[in-house]
Amino acid sequence: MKVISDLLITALYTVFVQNLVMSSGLGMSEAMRISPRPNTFIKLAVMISGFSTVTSVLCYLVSVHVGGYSHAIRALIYGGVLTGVYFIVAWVVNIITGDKETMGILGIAALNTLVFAVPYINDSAAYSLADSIGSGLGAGFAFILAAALIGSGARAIEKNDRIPRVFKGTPAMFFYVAMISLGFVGFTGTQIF
Amino acid sequence: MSDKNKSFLTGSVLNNPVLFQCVGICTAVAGTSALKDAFFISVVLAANLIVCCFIASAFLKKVPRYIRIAVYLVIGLAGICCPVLWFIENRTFIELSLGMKIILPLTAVNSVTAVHCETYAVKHDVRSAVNDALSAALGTSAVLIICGIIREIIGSGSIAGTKLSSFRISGFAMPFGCLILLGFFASFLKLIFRTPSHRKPDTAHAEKQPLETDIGVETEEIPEQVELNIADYDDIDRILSSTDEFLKSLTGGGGDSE
Repeated sequence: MKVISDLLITALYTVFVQNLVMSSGLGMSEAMRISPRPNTFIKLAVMISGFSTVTSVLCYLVSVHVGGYSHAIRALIYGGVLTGVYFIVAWVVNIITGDKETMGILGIAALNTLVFAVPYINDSAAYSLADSIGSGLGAGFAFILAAALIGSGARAIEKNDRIPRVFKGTPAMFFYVAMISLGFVGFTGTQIF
Repeated sequence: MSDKNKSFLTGSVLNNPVLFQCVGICTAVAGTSALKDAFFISVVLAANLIVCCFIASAFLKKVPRYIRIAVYLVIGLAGICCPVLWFIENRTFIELSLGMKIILPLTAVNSVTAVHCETYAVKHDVRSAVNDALSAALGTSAVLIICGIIREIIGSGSIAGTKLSSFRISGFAMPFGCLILLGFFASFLKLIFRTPSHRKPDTAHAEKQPLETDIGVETEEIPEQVELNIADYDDIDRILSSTDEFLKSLTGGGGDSE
């Protein structure tokens, strides 16, 4: 029971308090570029959730043995785990479906800063195995939440004719995402001034 | 201005990867809270981008795309980011923050490299690919370093560790501070490169233009080129069509291999 509660608490914390996309900018490029495309977005979000969970668990198991190494060596090990997971999944998906679109999205989902950062966060927070699973799942759901918020904002910005021309497009998107990011800072209780 | 200079200007300023293509935002947001961090991140990112584009163009054209994407990570991590981090940790007296020790390796999976390698480098010769990488690296680094300077001054009241004033807004060192800056930079560039004739946009003209993320220089005058690019990125749909192009290049729509 404690394992499940740890997992859920860490997942909820990762989604709402420590939302990695909004509070650290991890995976923000992917969220901004993909979010207004519903079909691609759903596939990508599911894949990111899967990769972040699997990588998080595997890196936890590996990190038990590499705790004393320097950051450079640890980065190589985590990168090796991530690349290995990606190759195995890509190989299986290629055999089963061979769908080029899925293969393309798979690469973006696996090899991005959000998925790669999760093992570091687990490591620095000294998470247990249950926490690591929760952290991996939470990172995926954090991406879904962030991308959904960005996507809905992007559509509203595009329809809004009152935005001055120089602020239309990416500037307005940046300001909008900054405001959401500021909102998430509120959950952490950090002082701004 | 020669075609080479035009395409260089386009790649680094008008199609700036961070400001108009929405790539590398994580690097900008997480790695520019101070000038020193921004400098290291810029150097590593530029080296990673140039090396990956060179290798992609020279050796990876026949390699399946899903393998290429992972190769960029391996090259970036094993060839650049980790050796640089190891060198700084063990052979210099430079003190990196814990955050930087995490963010530096993350540069290996930055989207600037993936986008430029897949949409340009694998479809062009080595020289063009390296030129494109250089211009993108210059544009990205400029944004990162300027962000680093401004965020350190406002967020910490110092510059390169030297105290300037006691006034500071510590929240500006957080991600939203960087995003606000990026918004102003993007709008500033749009404002500068819009000549009076461009203040009444010819939307029909803009509709007809194909999206040129691979720096297509079709006109002689820079303002025309500018308008073409600004028009391309003038609404969210057009920004996102660059994503479509990237996805298409990954999924076999525009490539040459597999």
